[in-house]
Amino acid sequence: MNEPETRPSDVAAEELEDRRPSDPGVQPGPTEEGLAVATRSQRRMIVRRFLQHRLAVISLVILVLLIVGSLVGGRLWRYGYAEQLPEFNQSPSWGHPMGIDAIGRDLLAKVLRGAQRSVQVALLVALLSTTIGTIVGAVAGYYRGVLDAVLMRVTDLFLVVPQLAVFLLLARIVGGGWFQLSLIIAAFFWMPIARIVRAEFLSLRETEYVDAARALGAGDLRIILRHLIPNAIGSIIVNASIVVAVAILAETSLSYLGLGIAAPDTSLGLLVSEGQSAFETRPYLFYFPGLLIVLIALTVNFVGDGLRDAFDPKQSRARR
Amino acid sequence: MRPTEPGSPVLAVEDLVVSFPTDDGVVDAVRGVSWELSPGRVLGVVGESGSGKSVTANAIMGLLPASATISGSARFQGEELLDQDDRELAALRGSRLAMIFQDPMTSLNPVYRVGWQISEAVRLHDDVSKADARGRAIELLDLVGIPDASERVDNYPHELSGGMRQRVVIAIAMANEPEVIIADEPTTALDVTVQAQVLDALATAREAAHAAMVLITHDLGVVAGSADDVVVMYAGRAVEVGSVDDVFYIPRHPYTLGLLGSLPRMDASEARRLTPIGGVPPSMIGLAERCQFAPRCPLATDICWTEEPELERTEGGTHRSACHHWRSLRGVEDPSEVFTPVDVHGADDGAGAR
Repeated sequence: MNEPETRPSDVAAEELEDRRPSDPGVQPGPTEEGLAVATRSQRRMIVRRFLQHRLAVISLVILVLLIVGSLVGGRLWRYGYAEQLPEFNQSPSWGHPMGIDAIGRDLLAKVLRGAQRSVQVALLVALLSTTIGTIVGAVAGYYRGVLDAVLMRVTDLFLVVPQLAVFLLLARIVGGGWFQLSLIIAAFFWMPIARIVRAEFLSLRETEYVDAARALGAGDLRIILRHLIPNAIGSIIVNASIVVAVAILAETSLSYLGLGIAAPDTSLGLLVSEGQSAFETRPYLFYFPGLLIVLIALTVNFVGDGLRDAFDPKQSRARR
Repeated sequence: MRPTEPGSPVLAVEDLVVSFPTDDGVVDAVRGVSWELSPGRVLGVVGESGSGKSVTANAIMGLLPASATISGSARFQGEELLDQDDRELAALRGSRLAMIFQDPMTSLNPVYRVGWQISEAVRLHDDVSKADARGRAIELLDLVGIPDASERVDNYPHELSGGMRQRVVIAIAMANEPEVIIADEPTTALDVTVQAQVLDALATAREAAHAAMVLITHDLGVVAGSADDVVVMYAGRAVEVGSVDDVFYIPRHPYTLGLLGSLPRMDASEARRLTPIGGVPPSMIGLAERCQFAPRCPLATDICWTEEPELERTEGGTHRSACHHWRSLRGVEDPSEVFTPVDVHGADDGAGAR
């Protein structure tokens, strides 16, 4: 890290007092270190620190390419995912880079479609569970007392319920669309976020700027939304990224068990499940979607890692 | 709301009692404090840590935790504050009654630009556009002496020095031209060199808003320089009340005298030994019926150990003291006549053992 940017800027502030630009229109040039420091915003610092985490940046690029590729590629690729071709059981070739499966469908088209569905599910799960978790954790941590006790016991209850059994039950009841699947998964993914947000709030609510905001006449809702959540946003984002990775795996497992997304639609989990029956003879049917799952989960994790470092300056400095 | 006749106090605290339950017992943080703040005046509240200064302030602002038991009264413009709930108080707080906190490092939200935070204060009570609020923020930053206010408005708190941050806090408190400002140790967290500048900024801003101020501090120097009236607190009670001149020049409570004696003075014509007050302040749990200062008081007699003195009028008009023996302080010029001076060179009693 570049030291002058991060240390308390008393020096910078004093420097500034001496160096009032004579012309207010003059932009701070590279030589005016003090001004350059003063204008650097928190957001840019975070972006800067994230960019220093090389693995996270590479992962982010790959992830974005995968997501955009699956969304756009599915439309552009010359075969549809449900399209029946005259050939079947073809090994990868130039015409069909991932081969053709036993009933004559182009595997690349299916993988693109599957990745799209899986990513869709994962992002929706992350959004829903982060929202639920943040609300529950914020209310519990801010109001404490009975409300906190009730909400946290509910959280505990959700944590101890055998999730797979409930997934199976719910999937049977609500059916197998990708949207329903996301709801089911999200219903069991918000608890860690609720706990983390609650812990953050318990400590943040004691800070003086919360008292100061209240002394200014701010109400509870405003304090929670405008003062506490922005200060906890680092851990919320980081945990949301972790949820994305775990949700992809959850979707995969459920679809693999035949309880998630059902044919003719497809997902990566479903493809793995379909491909494993021919694992001995045509392993590529299994490997391509499988590798994609690993790649997505891995890159999301690295991005989350990078985000955590970016939001926590102490950790990132210790590493370098 | 009671009509406020001219000259009546803008803020009046009467027999305020605050206690907190703890694992060790009930802490009686404030035990019957009364004072009045007149419009446009500055009331200094002095006392050591744990004497109940800040608890009094937080009780007035309604910022005490729910576990606190509060009784007595605190009236703002004749309006009782203690029985209002958060929602009712929110309308007063920040607009007519503002508070400045001790530590500018923690009382500003680290994730927002200072301009946003001042604008928030303005917009919470005044329906103005964002641009107008920003203009007002720049105006306020200029008022509290921040150079290049129009650029500083876009800084984050961490980009400013401690003194600058406290100026921002003052600007926020001034945003709606309150009638009363409660400043809870506004300079304690700052370097001595910056303290005077911040106090100046505070005085300028206060005069611009024609506000009255309660200045809570443990620094007698700050009070001497800024306040009109003084309340000296000890163990949750006011032990001496009066104008600054009365309290500083003719102290009528041995605790005040001791505080003055333990203050190094630069204006003394000859070298003077400091006269510290021996002992420590009492634990605030289960206080016995006695003068709480008695164990540390060189004047203490039997009555001090059985009866807690009430504030009573001394010779000056508004000057009051809670001491059985205030009369024996008449004619005392120097604290060393009552307290034992410390030996500067062999500072501790253990010197002989070496």
